[in-house]
Amino acid sequence: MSGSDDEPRLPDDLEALGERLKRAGRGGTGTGREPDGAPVSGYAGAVRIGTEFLVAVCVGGGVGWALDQWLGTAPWLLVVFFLFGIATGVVNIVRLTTPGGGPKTR
Amino acid sequence: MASPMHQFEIAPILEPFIKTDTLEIGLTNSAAAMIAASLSITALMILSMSGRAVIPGRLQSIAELSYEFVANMIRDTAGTAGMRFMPFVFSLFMFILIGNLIGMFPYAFTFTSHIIVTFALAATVILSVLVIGFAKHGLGFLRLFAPSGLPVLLLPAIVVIEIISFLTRPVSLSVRLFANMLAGHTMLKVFAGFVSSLSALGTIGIIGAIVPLAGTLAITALEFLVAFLQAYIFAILTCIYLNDALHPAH
Repeated sequence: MSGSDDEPRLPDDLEALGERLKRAGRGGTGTGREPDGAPVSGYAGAVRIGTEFLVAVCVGGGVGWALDQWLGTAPWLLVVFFLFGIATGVVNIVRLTTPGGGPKTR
Repeated sequence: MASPMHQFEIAPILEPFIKTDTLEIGLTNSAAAMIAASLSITALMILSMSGRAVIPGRLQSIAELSYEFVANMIRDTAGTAGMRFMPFVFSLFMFILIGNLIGMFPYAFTFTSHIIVTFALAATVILSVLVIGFAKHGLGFLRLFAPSGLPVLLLPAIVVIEIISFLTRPVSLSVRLFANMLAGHTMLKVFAGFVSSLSALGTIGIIGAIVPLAGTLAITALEFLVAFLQAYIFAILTCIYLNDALHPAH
């Protein structure tokens, strides 16, 4: 039963292999993906978003705190840069989630 | 039951070579895992390509596939000009990937679960972006922070946001990898701990332990995905940042 099934299927397999080779060949030219870091798969993008916002707020606050220490203006720069950090986080996420890398504001 | 955080403790394997009051340099489990990763990558690449068969065997396929994978990733994100970074990105990708996978062995140490390791890697990436950017474009590299065609009134605010965004990169790059590995392995240990502590309670406990056992199995599979995915994300972001160094003005 299985032996007689195998014989006629062989050309199909070869054709399928040819198709796959062709697709692989096209992939090799490297024009498949958005060039600006648009998420390649949904999951990879989702994993990135999680940290992006939080880290931006923390870095903004950290920069403000460091400048406060240096210039002796506590706590004003911390407040200002904390808000800038939030803005940065939003910008990062908009860039990450917009296909094609988001508005070209960099 | 041992603490779920016990697996991340750094323990010396050999006596310190150099020991002063403030400094101790010796072989730790973390360093040993890193050496094991580097050696296994080197061995994989050299041994698998020693045959140079036209039709690759299994090992040669692994080497060729990983090369092609990273090469395509660079071409897609940084163009053919980015191919000069191939050795750097390939080494980074393989080091993180093998480091994550070594951590999947029972009793093995996951060096990517320490933020000092991931931050050192991320800082290397960002510093090379800065060096390459300033070397290639001089002060023109600063255009990265000042987009063209913007109202003058908005420029100061945007420049501050762009600079903070740039400073975010090494932090998010390192925190993402470290947090994922730390959280994944802790979760794995907690679930596996439920199995042993529940099954100590007798028949009902053993039946109840089936659920966390299934969870442990599922998380193990997820961890293999995360191990690959985090190495991939780290490498592709490296490519994107290096592309910024080549073409600062967008």
